[in-house]
Amino acid sequence: MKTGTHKGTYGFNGESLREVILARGFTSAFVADSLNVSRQSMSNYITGRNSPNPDLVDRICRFLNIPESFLLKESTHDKTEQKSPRFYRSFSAATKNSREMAEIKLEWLIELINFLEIFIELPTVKFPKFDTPSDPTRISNEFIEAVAIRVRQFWGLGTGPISNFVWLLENNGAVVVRRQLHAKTLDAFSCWQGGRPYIILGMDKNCAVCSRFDAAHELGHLILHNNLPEICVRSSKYFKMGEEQANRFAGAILFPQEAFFKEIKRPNLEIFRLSKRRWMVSIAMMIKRAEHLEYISEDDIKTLWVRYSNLKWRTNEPLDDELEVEQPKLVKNIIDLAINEGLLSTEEISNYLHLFHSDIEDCVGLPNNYLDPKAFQVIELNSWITRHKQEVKNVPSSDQQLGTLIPFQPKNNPI
Amino acid sequence: MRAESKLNKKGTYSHTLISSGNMVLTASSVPTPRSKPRYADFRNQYAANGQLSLFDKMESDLTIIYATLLFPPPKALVPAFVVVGFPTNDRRTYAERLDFLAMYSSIEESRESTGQEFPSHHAPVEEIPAPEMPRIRPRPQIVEAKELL
Repeated sequence: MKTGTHKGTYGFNGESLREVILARGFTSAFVADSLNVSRQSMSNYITGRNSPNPDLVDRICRFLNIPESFLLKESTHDKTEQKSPRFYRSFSAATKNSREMAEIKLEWLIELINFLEIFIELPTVKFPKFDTPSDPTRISNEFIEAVAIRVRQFWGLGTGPISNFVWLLENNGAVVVRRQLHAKTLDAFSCWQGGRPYIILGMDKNCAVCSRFDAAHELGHLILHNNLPEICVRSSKYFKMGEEQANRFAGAILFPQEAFFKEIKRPNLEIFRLSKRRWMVSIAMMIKRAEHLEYISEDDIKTLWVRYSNLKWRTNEPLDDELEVEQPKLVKNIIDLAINEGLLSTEEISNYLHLFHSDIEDCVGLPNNYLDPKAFQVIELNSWITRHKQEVKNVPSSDQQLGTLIPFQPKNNPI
Repeated sequence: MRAESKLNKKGTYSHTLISSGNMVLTASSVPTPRSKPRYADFRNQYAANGQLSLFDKMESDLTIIYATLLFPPPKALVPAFVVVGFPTNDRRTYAERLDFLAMYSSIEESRESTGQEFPSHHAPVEEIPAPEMPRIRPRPQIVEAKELL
């Protein structure tokens, strides 16, 4: 990192500027144009060739809504650190901005969790390890079905419906966050970091069964593709295969084959509709499951999809408005404990991350102003009124000191 | 009550006839509750033999009272409608229609809400408890210099 010249700002970190620009979903050119700075200068600030003067740092901070200390802190992200692959639903150019935003906020979340772990013991990670091939082409459908059953057994579950999938993940040590991901095709993503699984679920769709499926899909990536090299994750050929495998895993863990055969005697849309409430999976997923398990003929599957479309269930399935989206609890519990037990204050958390409370709330999926130290400040109205009355009493009762009352005169009788 | 399988005139197709006293009923799948079943000789015959819509006859004169049980296309555990229609003798319309699901709406509601349609031998729901409040990490004890000596 180069520090600023005598004209610049000492300690300015261009990498932090790049980070916050990405977090806001902007480009450096857009920020430069908005602040009336040349694009070349902005590029120099980001690459560390030059640093802005204090006045410009102030303007940048106000524009990007970030504390000045964020741009003056040393980079905490170790670039040499080996990162596990991030599993996104889409690597298309359309989601690039959203992915970058999500990536930065994930880094902030990890930083916060690492900080809080100094004070609080998080649940031990109890994820089963399997000898999964590093080549996705060697992962068979039978292997996926078997792994899904083994995962259930490892967590002491039978073949029944799982009442809350997010809590299941959290109880076994995963950090799960639900937040806005600002892209339709970016439903969720996940990664391993420091031996702990992180799962970010989008709240853009607000659909209970979709979100459950997303969580199970990410679990599939974390378990099946743990050994996958980054190059395979980015390759379009392997990417699609990996997504299909994670989908198959999600179906298998949410609705195991044995239970499916036992409960769905005669696959049709009506039994799927009734099973949706019990299993908390979409009707589309059950049709797909029947297809994966080759439970009915291809023609019957086609008929089901046609009827499914005719009923306009592709846009809105029955019960979608009724079923409640599962909400993660662990991260909120950790933050509540740290604050309520006086281990940390909201200001200390903000100061540590060099972020305003709004960004912390966003990256950990807390409601707006949850960490705002002023939002819930109690103003003791009684004491204020008493003090005010006291002040009024202390005023001398002399007419001269209180002023003279001048009555308004009627219009037709001017003074 | 008696249910029997009856062949048509040519003996090529059969229908189920449910009878109880002078009441006879055949069942037909129709797309909507107001649809009429397709033309069939046997339905026309039952309807023509005696029907409530004539009204000029006394009920006791009627040999049979014919009704059609209407339900949506099969493959549904809980049908969207169950209607018993009493066709006129020319079968152009219904003299009376009874919407059973409207009359007994509690049947479907209770089935949907309690999940009674699922037999009890199905795998029980795996109840997952909410994550517990994590524990504060114990801090290392401060050891006095004297104790170290």
